[in-house]
Amino acid sequence: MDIFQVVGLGIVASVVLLLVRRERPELSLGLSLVVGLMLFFMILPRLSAVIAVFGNLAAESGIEPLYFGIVLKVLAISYVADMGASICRDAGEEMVATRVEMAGKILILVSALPIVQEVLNVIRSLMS
Amino acid sequence: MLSVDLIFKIAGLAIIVSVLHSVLKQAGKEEYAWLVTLTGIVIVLTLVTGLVADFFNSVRSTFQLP
Amino acid sequence: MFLKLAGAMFIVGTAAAAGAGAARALEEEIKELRRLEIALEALSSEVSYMLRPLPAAMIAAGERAGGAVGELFCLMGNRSGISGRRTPEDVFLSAMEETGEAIPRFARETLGELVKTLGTSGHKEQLRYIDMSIDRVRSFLRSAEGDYEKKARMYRHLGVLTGLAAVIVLI
Repeated sequence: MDIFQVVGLGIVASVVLLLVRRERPELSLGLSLVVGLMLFFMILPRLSAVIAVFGNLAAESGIEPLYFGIVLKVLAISYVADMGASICRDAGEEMVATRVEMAGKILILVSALPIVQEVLNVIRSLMS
Repeated sequence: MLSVDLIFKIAGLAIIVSVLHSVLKQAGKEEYAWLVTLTGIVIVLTLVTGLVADFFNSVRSTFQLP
Repeated sequence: MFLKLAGAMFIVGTAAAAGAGAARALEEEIKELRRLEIALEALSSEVSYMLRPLPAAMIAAGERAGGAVGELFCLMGNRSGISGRRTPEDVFLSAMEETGEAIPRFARETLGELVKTLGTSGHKEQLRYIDMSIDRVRSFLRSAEGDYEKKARMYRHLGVLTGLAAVIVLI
């Protein structure tokens, strides 16, 4: 059971972080980043299994593979941007975190543009 | 799963750096204490950078991005 | 696993030994300064009673003090005894060249000032200069003692902690 490993790692890391953060806040930032990445790496194989299943579903239902790729890209951008923004927020840099989040939103918008275009085309063809 | 050693490594490094910092500060060598802290940050950052690169690569391969 | 542990212990041990060595060098320096104080006091009493000529007084003071400073005083006494008409400053410089490595810098400077007046001026003047040097050494010792102790402790801690940090980074 993976959940026990995840929870155990989280508890141990929290205790260690509690000790470190009081003495050296600047080093505790790197430590919390490592803990977050460890948890992510633990859960990554499951995530890729889910993605494979959804990929099969998309292929069977006849959705164009380009759109599924866009969905995956949006997901990846949101995960990475969230990770970076929360690290910045941990360090107390609210401004930088907000900029990182904004950059993520804009990049998501850019990658979703083909879908928006397609939707607009559908609407236009319905109206005419 | 990656080894959990890295967490304890960084935690141990942080504790030793903090003790070194207080020892040097007590002996009146503030500038060296600061230098020790800086070295600790650089070492931890070097350790973390590899992991972050790993993270980016695995996200890229998981989400089938080019 | 065993090899790793042995290597880690070796690194920590080496670093701790280096720190302890630096601390011991500091303590040795303080000891030499104390010996200098003893030697100067002995010299002062010898000169004030005028029982013996200066070379013999120096040898006696050196034997009382012991250590590197004592050796230096003995050598100075011997040299000025043998070569008759050399000034104390010459004798001091040549003796420094021979056994001067272990003498702390402060002792070197104080002695260098002192020997310029030794054997050149009157009896009272000489005594005054020696007593002045004793005062200087004493005040320096008072200010340096606590400081040196703190520094020695810092070096010991520094050695062990640096070794531990190296082990953690390398493992």
